[in-house]
Amino acid sequence: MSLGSYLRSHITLLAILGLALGAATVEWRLGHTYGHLQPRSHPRGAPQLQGEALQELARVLQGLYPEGAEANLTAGQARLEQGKLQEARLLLEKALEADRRNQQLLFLYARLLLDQGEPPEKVKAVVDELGRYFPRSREKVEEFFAQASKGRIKFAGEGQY
Amino acid sequence: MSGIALPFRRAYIIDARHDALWFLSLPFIAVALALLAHRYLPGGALVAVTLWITVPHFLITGLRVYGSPAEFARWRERFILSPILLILFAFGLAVYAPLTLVLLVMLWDHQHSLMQQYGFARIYDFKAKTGGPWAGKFDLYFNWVFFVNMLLVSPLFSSIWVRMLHEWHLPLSAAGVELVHQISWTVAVAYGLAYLGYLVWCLRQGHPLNPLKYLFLLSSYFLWYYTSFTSEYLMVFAVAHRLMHGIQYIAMIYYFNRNRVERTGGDSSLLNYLARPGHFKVFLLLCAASVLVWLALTEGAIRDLGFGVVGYSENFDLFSYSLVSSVALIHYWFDAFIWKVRRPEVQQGL
Repeated sequence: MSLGSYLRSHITLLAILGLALGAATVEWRLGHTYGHLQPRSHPRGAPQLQGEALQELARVLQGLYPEGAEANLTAGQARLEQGKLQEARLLLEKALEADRRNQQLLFLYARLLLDQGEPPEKVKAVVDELGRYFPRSREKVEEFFAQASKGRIKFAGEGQY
Repeated sequence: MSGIALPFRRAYIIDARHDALWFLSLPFIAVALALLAHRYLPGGALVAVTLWITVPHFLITGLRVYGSPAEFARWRERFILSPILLILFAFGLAVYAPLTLVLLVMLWDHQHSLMQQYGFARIYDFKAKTGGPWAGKFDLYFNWVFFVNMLLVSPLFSSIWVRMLHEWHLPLSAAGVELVHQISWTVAVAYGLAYLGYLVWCLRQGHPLNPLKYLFLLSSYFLWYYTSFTSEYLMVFAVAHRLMHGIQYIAMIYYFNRNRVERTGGDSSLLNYLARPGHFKVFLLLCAASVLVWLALTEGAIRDLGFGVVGYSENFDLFSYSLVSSVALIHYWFDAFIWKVRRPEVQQGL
């Protein structure tokens, strides 16, 4: 079995991987040129848009689907980034009307309520909803909100260990 | 009634009862289950579908590739080198170019999905000897045009590709997206008319058609269009699609293996063993075992086998993430050439 036969049998795959390598080079250059992506927060996560690119995306999605959850979530993220909390809240609530089963949306909304100084029980209701719909991340999310609220929000599982 | 005999000829992928369940009704059942999951189950339902359906369907590709000596000998170089290449490549992308990895897996997944339905459509024509001289080409373009149209115009996928374009610093205005939608619909409608024209031509020329193929394509596209147009929640589409894609694949390959063993005697003691009617439970146990291995590799359970030294770095997370991606890529790559309906060794099991 020669090297040549191995290469010949992989021409199609190598062509696909070559294209992907080209895309990877473009991605690497983009990341270093425009700074429009946030660094990854987790090895399994993809980089998220930020700044003007995020605002532009929000404008496009809102133009296309003004009532859509994704459009209003993106617009809410863009407002949050600009520090416009009340505008962000209205957009996230609109997104929640369209779809309450969105992990990122519920998390952002709960965090926003906390930042706006809403009563702990109001924040906890959203975090509980998040835990019900997405039980895999429940523990981490509860830990985050327990810490972020400086212990004002208490969860059933706390202090077990 | 004059009793004109229309040139329709039926043949099945498996048989009438199984086709009715797995290929014609399943898409509707899958949509109903996805909607119920959306209404009553947490987001973890998608993980469960991935584990129970998608992972075993990866295993079945592995059984075909590495369990059959004849098949292995046929594509030996690819079966040895490709997995190594793809695992390393996916790891490299996971570390240095995560957007590229997402793009590669997503595009190949879509191509793989549409080609599976195309392949099943070809089996309907192959077994019924129907479709006229250009059915293969017409079906191939039908699947490309209507699947890509769904990706381009549905609210669910439009939001995804518009976001991806922005991530790649290729922003498109709302007007630009609407133009893409219009062009895509125009192409889809025009091709739909051309496809219908070809069917009419076949009937006039006396080329028989297999009505089950068209019912199968309609039910498949109902699932894709309905879930991508009516829900913004990716889970509804993903659950319905993975149920249809995975179960149809498992059913098809299970009966393919049985037919092949019955007709040729088979070439592998493992596949012969699994093909025996009483051994379906063993087949299910193997599927369950594959799920456990998958869980150990991807959910961190394997860390505990590393004496606390191996597996607790960020690299392990990247490794397990790239492993999930590379197993999918290996599956897409192998499936692209091992199931060609025109190959005699494939026809032996149909």
